Amino acid sequence: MRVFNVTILSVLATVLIGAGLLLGLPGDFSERALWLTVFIPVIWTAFMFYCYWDKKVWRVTTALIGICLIGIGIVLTTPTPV
Amino acid sequence: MKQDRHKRLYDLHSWAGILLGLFIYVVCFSGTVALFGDELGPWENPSLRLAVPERTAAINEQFKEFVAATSSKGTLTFARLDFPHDIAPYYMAFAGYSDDSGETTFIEEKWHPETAKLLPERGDGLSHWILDIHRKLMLPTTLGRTLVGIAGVVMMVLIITGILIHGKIIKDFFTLRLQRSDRLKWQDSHKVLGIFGLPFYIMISFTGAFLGVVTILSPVVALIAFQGDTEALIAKVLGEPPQASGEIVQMYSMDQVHTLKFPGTDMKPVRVIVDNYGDKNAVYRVIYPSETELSSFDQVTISGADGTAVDTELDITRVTAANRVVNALTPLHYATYGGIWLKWIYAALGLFMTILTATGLMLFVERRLHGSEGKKSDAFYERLSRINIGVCMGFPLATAALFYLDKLYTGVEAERMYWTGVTYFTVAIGTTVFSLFQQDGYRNVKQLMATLGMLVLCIPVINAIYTGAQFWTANSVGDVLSNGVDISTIVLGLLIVFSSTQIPACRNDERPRLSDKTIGAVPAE
Repeated sequence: MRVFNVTILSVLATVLIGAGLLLGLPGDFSERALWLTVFIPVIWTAFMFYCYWDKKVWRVTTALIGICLIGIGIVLTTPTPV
Repeated sequence: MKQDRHKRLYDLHSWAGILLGLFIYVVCFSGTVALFGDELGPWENPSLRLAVPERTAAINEQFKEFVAATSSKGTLTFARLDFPHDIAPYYMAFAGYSDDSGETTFIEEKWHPETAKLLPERGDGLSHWILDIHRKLMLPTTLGRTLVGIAGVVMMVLIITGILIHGKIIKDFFTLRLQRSDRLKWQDSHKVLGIFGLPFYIMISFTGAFLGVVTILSPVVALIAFQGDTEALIAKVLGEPPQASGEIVQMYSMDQVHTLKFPGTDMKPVRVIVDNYGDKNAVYRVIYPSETELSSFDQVTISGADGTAVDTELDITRVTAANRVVNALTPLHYATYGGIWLKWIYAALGLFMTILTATGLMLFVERRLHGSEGKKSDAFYERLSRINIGVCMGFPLATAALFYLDKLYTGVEAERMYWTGVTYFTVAIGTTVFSLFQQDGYRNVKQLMATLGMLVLCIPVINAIYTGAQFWTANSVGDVLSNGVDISTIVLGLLIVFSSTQIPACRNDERPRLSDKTIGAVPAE
């Protein structure tokens, strides 16, 4: 399960929370986009690391799925910038 | 740290290392060589060993004809002109056109800086291969760069787990027991090398990960945020691109552009990127070098019709914090902001990183073949060890072989790149297969290293034979760069040959493996 978390869920969580942050964070849009571009590898690394940090696998899975859902929620509820 | 957490992180470090270690090794090694991609240009192509003249020839007519010829083949997507400068002392035009199927083709031409005569065409080879194998593994750009970026992300994971599982960092830094067992030797070397270049490894992994995964993850993120509307996304981030008006006008001369100094400085432009050439709404992005600053370049945007300054949202060098950071990451990764000595420091640290990866791989096998870890058979770990040796020696040998191919190649110039690839992979794979059949790993490394050293040492000889170059004479910047490559290969070759003499011909401490089969038995000393 940890291997699934580290190879699949961590990527999904990075992409989805990245999209959520791009829409949800305050400030100039292109600035946000650039900062997110810089931090995406860091976020991904942090998620991969977290997969092996926590003793309970179910907690890691739940946390990553939760992060994915938060990202999806923000994308669906925030209007696309014009 | 709790013992079970320590074990989990140790497992992550070991398995990520062994599964992706060879891949990371190839990326690290190719990156170390790729630092000198620009310097290799004049070495491989003697017609580029030129000086930057005091007065350069006019180039506007040649560029106009080049753009017209490109436009006649399809829809011009962009055009670029590089002015002669220290690293590339000649005019170079580069343009792309798309055909009916939407596929883009690129065309390049070079002119002499003093006469503006066309320089002889030479197919891409050595320097292009070395750069592209590192940047995209010679795969399609998106896939290749993503894979290289993943290597950066994995390297960051390896660094963090490595720091955490070795609690006594300061003590480890001063522990190098070369006279003890082979296992301790590899272990201490791995730790000392790891701690020695730690800030560099973190920086290079992060910038590499950024430059790689940004090509796939950022568009995916943005695509999700804009629910598939990529055009809206690009317009939102970069601003609306300049639209052609359809009105054809005389273009502002490239020779005039060449004289435009960067505001407040004496800096002359090195490049112009053109959108909508020939149109009233044409835009020139004039690029100036930032060789002593941690910034990719400085840029001024002017109208292509009359040369007046244009304030455009496309100007990605607008000075904001995010722009400064993004703009700094490429020069930070490729060491283009501090001259040749900085490149050498990067190369040394890059080489340490490469050796760090190799010692990590050896340590993994050592602990299983001659220690108590691992449950696979001895034969499995023996094979793994031989593959490690084959790959770790094969890619440096393949790189050295390319220097020889570059001078010995007599085929069609258009196929030069193809044969460069064939040579590279034949030598790398051949060395790996050869190593698989070698019984004694130590002797194999010693012999392969001596061969590599001799090959590298003789690179100036083949250059002298085929181009008549003598590295004690230099008439131009191009000669200096080429001589620099020759001298570097002599120094590097001597170092490799010397290192090969220091490698023992066999293991110092032959001991049976303490595997599950042998636990309980008394190990023979």
